[in-house]
Parts: sequence; C-alpha cells; structure tokens
Amino acid sequence: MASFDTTHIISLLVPLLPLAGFFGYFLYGDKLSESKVGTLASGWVILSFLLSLVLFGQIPVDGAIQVNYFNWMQAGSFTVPFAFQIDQLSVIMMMLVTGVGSLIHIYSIGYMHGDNGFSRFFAYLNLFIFFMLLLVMANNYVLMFAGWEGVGLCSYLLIGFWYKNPEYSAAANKAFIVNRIGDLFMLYGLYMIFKHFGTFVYSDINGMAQSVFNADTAIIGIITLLLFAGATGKSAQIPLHTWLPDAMAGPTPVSALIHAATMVTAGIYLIIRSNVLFALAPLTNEIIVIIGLATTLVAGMIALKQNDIKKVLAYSTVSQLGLMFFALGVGAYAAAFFHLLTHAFFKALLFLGAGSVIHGMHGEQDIRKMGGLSGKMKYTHITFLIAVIAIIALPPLSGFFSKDYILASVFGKSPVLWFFGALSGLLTAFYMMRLYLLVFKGKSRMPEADAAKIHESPSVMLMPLYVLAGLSALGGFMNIPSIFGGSQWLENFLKPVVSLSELHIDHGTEWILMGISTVLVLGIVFWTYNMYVKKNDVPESDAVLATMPFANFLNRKFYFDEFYDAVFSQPLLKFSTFIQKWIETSIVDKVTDSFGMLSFFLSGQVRKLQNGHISFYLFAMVLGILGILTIFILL
Amino acid sequence: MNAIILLALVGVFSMFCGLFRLRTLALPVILLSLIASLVIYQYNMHGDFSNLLNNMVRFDSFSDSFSIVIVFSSIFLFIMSRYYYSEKIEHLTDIYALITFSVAGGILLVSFQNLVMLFLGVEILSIPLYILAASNRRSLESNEAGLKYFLTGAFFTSIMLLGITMIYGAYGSFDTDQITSLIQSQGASPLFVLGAVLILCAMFFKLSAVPFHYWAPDVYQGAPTVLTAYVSTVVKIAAMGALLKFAMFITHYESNIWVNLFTFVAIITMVYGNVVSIVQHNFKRLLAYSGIANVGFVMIAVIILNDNSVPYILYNLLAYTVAAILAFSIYSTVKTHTGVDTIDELAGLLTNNKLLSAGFLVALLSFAGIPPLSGFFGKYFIIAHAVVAEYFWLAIIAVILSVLGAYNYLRISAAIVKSNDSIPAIQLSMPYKLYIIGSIIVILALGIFPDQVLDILR
Repeated sequence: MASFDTTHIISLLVPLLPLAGFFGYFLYGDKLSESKVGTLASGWVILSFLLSLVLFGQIPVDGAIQVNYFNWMQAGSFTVPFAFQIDQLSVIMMMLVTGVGSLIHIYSIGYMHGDNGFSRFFAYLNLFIFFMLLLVMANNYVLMFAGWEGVGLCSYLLIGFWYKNPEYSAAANKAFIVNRIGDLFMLYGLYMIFKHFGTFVYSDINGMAQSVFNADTAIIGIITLLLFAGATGKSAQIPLHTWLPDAMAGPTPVSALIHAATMVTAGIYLIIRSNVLFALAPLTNEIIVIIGLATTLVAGMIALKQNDIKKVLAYSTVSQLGLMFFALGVGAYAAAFFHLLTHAFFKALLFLGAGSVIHGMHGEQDIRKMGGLSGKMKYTHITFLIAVIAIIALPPLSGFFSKDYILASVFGKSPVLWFFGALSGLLTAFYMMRLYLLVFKGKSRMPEADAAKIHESPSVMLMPLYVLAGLSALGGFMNIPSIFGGSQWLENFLKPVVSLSELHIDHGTEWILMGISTVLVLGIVFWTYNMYVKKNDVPESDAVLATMPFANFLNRKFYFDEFYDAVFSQPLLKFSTFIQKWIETSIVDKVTDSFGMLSFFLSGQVRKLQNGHISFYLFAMVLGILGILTIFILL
Repeated sequence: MNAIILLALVGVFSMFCGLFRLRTLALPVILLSLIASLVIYQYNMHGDFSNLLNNMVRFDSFSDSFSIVIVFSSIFLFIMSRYYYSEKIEHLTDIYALITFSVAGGILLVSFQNLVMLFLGVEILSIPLYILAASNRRSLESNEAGLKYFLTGAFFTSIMLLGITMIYGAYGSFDTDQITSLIQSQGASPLFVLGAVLILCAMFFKLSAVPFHYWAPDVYQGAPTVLTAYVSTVVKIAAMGALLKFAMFITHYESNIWVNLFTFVAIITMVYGNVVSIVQHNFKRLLAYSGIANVGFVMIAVIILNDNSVPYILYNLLAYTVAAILAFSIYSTVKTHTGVDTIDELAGLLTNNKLLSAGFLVALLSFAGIPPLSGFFGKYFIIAHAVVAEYFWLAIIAVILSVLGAYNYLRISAAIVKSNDSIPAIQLSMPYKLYIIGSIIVILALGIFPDQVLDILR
C-alpha cells in the first residue's frame, strides 16, 4: 500500500463524511430535534465541500492524483482496486455534488419541516451524496459502477419517500426498473472492457486504447454503445427517458438534487470520462447525436403542453440532457460539461423555486391554478426569473454562454445540426416563458381564500436560492469565449482530461449565429408575454385538451408510456402468468413437491423401526453386523 | 500424557470437593486444567513417559490435533453444564468428575497405539456416559436411557473385544506397528479382516452410524441435556478420531473392502439421518438424527483418507460441536424456564428473548450451512475434498442430502421468528449472556478465518 499522505486522508474523508451522516441517523435520528438533525446532515456535506475545495487547490496542472487504498476484489488476474482519481474532471464534479448538495440540504431543512420522515430524508440524502462522490471519484469502472448503482438505490428510496402513496411507490419502481435496463447494458460493456483490456482502471485503459483497438473498430463500437446505453438509462434519454418525469413524485429538493443537478448527469460524466474510447468509435458518436437530438426535441415539445410545474421542469431537464449528449456526440466534450455545470445551477434553482412555490401554495402543482405570484413571493420570483433568463440563454447569464458554446461547436460540424440545436433552444424559451408567466405573472387564478394563505418561504429556504441565483447569473464566466476576449478557463482547465481538439468556427460566423438565436429567443419572449399576460391566455382544461389531437399528443407525452405498456409490459405480464399457471404450478411445483412428499413418506415409514424395545434394537444391530460381514467379506 | 494425568487428577479432586463441601471450587479448577491441557498440546509438553508406556500410546500431530479439539469443546460443555444444573443438585461434583474422566478417556482413545489401549480408551470414555445418562435419578426416562445405553454399549464392547482377539489370533500381537509389519511380510489373514470389521462395527456404534444407531434417539431424548450434548459432540470427536486412526492402520492391508464398507455406511447414514429427521418434533431427538447425518457426512473424508482428511474432519466436527452445545444449552434454558419441549412450542421465541433467539438462530443457520457461519465451511471442505479426490457422485449425494437436512434447521428457525409472544422473557445471568455471545463469536470466527483454523488443526 502506498504511504498515506494528507491527500489520501482528505480524499477518503470527502465521501466518508456524508456516509458518517447516514450512519449517524441510526444513532441520533430519533433522538435529536429536527433542526439539529438537519444542521448535522448539512454540516457533513458542507465539510465535504470544503475538503473538495482543498483538493481542487492541489490538482497538478497537467495530470491526475491517483489515490490508492486497497485491493477491493481479487480473483486470479481480476483485480479491482479501491482507489480514487482526483483530476480536473472529478474535482469539479465533487465540488458540484457537495456544493449544490449542501445548498439543497439546507433548503430541505425548511422544505421538509414537520414531515414524519424528516431525519430519514436526510439520511437518504447523505447516503446519496456518498454514492455520488464514489461515482465521480472512482479511478475504475467497477468502483464507479458501485456508486452508479448506489445513487440509483437512493433515487429509488427518495422518489418513493412518501411510500404510503401507491402512485409514488409505483414511480419509484419505474425509475428503478428502467434504470436496471440501462445498467444491464452497461454491465455487458464493463465485461467487454475487462475482456479486451484486462483491467478496469481508467488510466490504464486510456493508455492502451489506441493500441488495442487500432484495427478492430467493431468491438470498440459495441463497447461504447453499451456504455452509452447505460448512460441513456441514468440520464433519461430516449428510449429510457420515461422514468424521470414520474420521478417528480419525490420531494422537490430530491428532484433538484438528484433528478436535475447531479445523478442524471452521471451518464454525461461517464462518456466524458471514457472520451478516449468514444473518440475511437465514430458510429457510436453519430448514434449519440441522433439520440441526443431526438430527446432534446421530443422532450422540449412535450414540455410545451404540460401543466404540472414539476413535470415541465422534468421534461426541460430531459431536453437539456439531450442537448448535452448532442454536444458529446459531435465531440464537444468541454461544451457539454460546461452546460452540465450551468444547467446544474439554474435547474436546481428552478426546482427549488418551484418547491418554494409549491410550499407557499400548500402543495398545489397545477400551473393553471396559479398566476400573479410575483407580488406574494417576491424573492422566489426574482431568483426564479434569473434562472429562467439563464435557461433560455439570454446574455450575459450562464446558460447563454454554455448553450452558445454547444451551438457554435455543432455549427462547426454541420449547419443542419445547428439548426436543430437552435430549434431546441427555441422550444426551451417557449415552455420556460410559459411556465414563468403562468405562475408569476397575469392574474391570480385561485380562489380568494386560498390566495390569502399564500406566503413567502422561510429564509432557510431562500438562502440557497440566492446562492444558486448568483451562480446561475455568473456561472457563465467560467468559460467566456475568446470572441468576448475571454480566456476559456474551463476548457483549458479540462485539457488534461479531455484531449480532443474542439471544433472552432471563425468569429464572424459566431457573432451571426449568436445574434440569430438571441433575437429569436427575444421574439419568443414577446410572443409569450403577449399571449399569457396581455391576453391572459390560460392552458386548456383537460377536457378541452382531449379534443385537440396534436396538443393532446404532446400532453400525453407522445404516448411513450402507453406504447411501452402495450409492447413490453403487457406481453411480458401475460407470458409470466402463462408460465406461472402452466409450467410453474402444474409441473415444476408438483415435481419438487413430490420429492418432499416422498421424503416425508419414507421418514414416516422408517421411524417405525424406532419402537423403543431394546431387544429389537439389539436384534436389528446383530442383523446389521451379519449383513455387513456377509456383504463385505463373504461376497 | 501430562494432560491425561492432569485431567484424571482433577477428576479425583472434583470428587473430593463434593465430600469436603468445596463444590464451588470444582468447576474453576476443571476449566483451568482444561486450559492447561490446551497449552500442553499446543506446545508439545507431553513429558517423557516412554519407559513406562511401552509403546501403548503415541502423541503425534494427529493425536494432538484431536486432543486440542476435544479439550476445547469440553470447555464449552462445562460452561453449559454450569448453567444446566441448578446449584442445589446432589452429586454435582461427581457429575463433573465423570465428565472429566470421560474426556481423559477420549484423549487416550485418539492416542492409541496398541489395541488394548483402544479398548481401554473406549471403556474409559463410555462407562461414565452410562452413569451420566441415568444421572437424573428421579426421571423414569433418564433411567431408561441409561439402561438402554448401557446394555447396547456392553453388547458392542464384547463385539470389539471379539474383534481384537481375532486380530491377536491372526498375528499374536496387540501392537499396531508390529501387526503392520507382519501384514506387510506375511500378507493379511482372513481372521484379521474379520476382526477389523467387527472393531469397525463397534466404532460405528459409538458414532451412532446406521445400522448401529438405534440407541441414539432414545438416549438423546431421555438423558439429561448435558449428557446429550456431550455424547453428540465430544464423544463423537473422540470416536471419529479413533475410527480415523484405525482406518489408517487397517488400510495397510490394501483391499476394496474398506472403501466399500465406509462408502456404504456413509451413504446409508446420511440418507437415514436426514430423511428420518424431517418428521421429528422433539428437539433433542431431531438433533440425534441430524448428528447421525453429520457422521455419515464426515465419513466421506474417511473414505478419501489423505493428508487433508484430518483437518477437514476436525474443522467440521469443531464447527458442529460449538453450534450443537450452544443449541442444546439454549434449548435446555428455554425448557427449564417455560416447559417448552417440541419444536412447534418454540414458536415466537424471538419476540421476548432476543439474545437466546440470536444464539439459537446462529447455531441453526450454522448447521444448515449458511455462510459465513462455520457450518458452511464444515460442509464445504468435506464436499470440496470429495470433488478434489474425484468422488463426484458422493459429493452430489452429500449436497442433495444437505439440502434436505437444511429443511430441519430452517423449520426451527422459522418457528423461532414467528410473531407470537406466548413465550415470556427469560432472565439470563450476565456470565450466561457472555457465554452465548462468546459462542456466537466463535462460530463466526471459525467461519471467517477458516484457513487459519485449518492451519492450527493440521
């Protein structure tokens, strides 16, 4: 074992502190008051965040710190170390997970106030942070997969947090099962990686990739496709995206942390982490572009007609994740990662803002029943507005820079792709403005009595909103493009990890593209303002919606769920019922049962020999001796 | 030899304790002397008695390993008996003394070098058992058990003597070394084979192997539980040691007879023990049958008979012993306090008695062979042993019958965890709690560090 220096200890503490919080729940979960439990749970994550900052300061300019602890598994040539890789990519992810994580912990103290499962909620959150850190810090695929499964488990636990509601439990099951489908593919990918590389360690694989797959591109294509299939599950891409909107059943902070900022980006992290492999598989990259583009457009269109505040944001998340995959597919890794970060800020803020609205409105989530909240929830409104401007990519907020970066990279690849990417941006602008205006502007559409009860959220919930609003507004300055005289800090920082050269277009074209998209977005802003504020349009009620074919098609989410149900679930269920009825109970059970019956029968017969008479015993034993002598000596 | 002398003296001391009203002194002295014996064996401090002994016994790594396991197991047994007998019982120190003598006999038995010592060892081991089986004098069942055990035991003593005289008749010697060299120079006489088979039959009787098992269920059920625990564990270790040693001796005469005989007995014993146990309702009777089944299981390693047989057999027996003594102890505690006797009546033990149930469950799951408990490796080593020696069909039979046997243990476990609070909470003294926890730790430790344990037993 390598000698233990401070880096070893700090790196180990980063994930262990939240884990300690999880175990602490069993010690003090029932005993301490709400505020103490919440403070402790947040404290673990904040400490972990501070230690991540320390590690950030220690990263060497061009390289990674490998932190080895022990051999986790060993069997023959199969070795999996328990080791971390602290490099530019993982350290930013660590800061993101623990930083946004801390804010959401703090927010949850207010949001979950009075809930029966208050301390259980924080235990799950702590556990989630632990697994997420394991995922991003691991230096090999197996340890990463352990974290990957762990966050899946926590996601399941937290979606079904209010488990007494059967619908929520069903949503949790759906998330878990759909993710398992992706994970299965991913496992096959890991097996193939081991078969061809003989190791799971990233740095070894990256070093060997060129030589191993110099000629044989089919296999690397399959490996990357399998990894990508795993990523579609976790990051909710078509065809495995259906779980994420249902996952909104969980408490809103969970949606913000797990289903917007961190866990769902694991798929993107995985591909950036494996960028050396993906660079060798052009066909896979084309598939990623198609899937990413399809997802961003389909989810964007579905979001246009959703009326649940969290569902809109959920589809928006799916759409933004699709955009990131789109960027990954064209090789714009830094751009995708940049958008991952800014998206984490503003989408977490949007969810927390939505949570604040739901909290203030005592559980109401239907935007048709809101309106005019800007006066009643001043601070929530302002922070929400900042997030909206960020996500619809108006300068100079963070979303503008990251989305522009993606679009500029895509244009370098193909103008047609740029057109679709920009279209996705316009869809985003429309559904976000629709959401914002319907919730905060216009006239109040709720009964007077309810309206009076609306209140602004407590400051423990508002504080995280301010911080996230600051990050959403200023986060773009991490990577100011050279067109504005910026130094592109993030891209340069990531160079040791992401070795690909970016696609660049000349400044003139970039100015034009930027101008076009900004003008179009502004157009949509005025259009929606005119529609929802001046004309006071309200989305159709469900009954009216049913008569409009296309709108209904969007509102029903392209009928994905119904399609899966008819094509996969029902036939499978029928098949299982068939097996159960005709093979299991009538053949297998009877055969196995008959063995048991036979044993009982024999047992009952033979025990009669044990009749308690000593003379019989002696007689039988003499017979035994004679029998043995006969069989073994005479014969 | 030092250990045998020490234990015999301590046995006498224990009897005097009873006379001079020092009964509280007996148990600590016995436990200390057992620990001292462990030290003697671990560090080979046997003492030089070669002039006196005239090659009657031999202390080598084989007898050391078996003796260590015998002594180690007896420690658990004595602790159990401390909580089994109430303080006021008459002749408590005599009971301790008898067990101590019997343990000394067991050590002698696994060290025999001369057929006379084999005979003496069996007798010293057994005679105290007959008395102990009947030691619950007011119980008719106990008297019946003692008498049955004694009559059948005496019968097989004569069979063994007959076998020994036949071997003497064939070669004119009792010394196994001399007989071995005579076999090699003259070849085996039919009389020798006949005598050896008779001695084996007598050993099968001690081990309660089928078809010489009839006494076991009746004696187990009727005798005091401490004796049941003793007979089903320590006595079986000693008898198995003697069988193994005797098997090594007779296989100098190379013949198919031995392998065939052991295979035959092993299989019918496993089948019989496992099959009949599933309809038992009395816990002690059930353990009698599961003990029979385990003997058949262990005999697989006797069939193979190579360097690894000894540690694997010892590991299995040790694992079985610790769990069995724990189970018997807990069962008797529950029975004394609540009168529960059958397995069905154990239902809901967990509700009010967490520690007792935990100990019980650990013992039962260890019997069933659930990792990481020691019973799993006890089974695993023997089955792996059979596979390595290419006795595949034997391994398959053993696995199938283990599954059948597991039914029993899971049946009791299921009863224990039922939600039913008919069994009231039982007050346990602190040392007894420590005993249960200690046993659980030993069962776990044996299962978690099997390789290290095997190294000690080699």
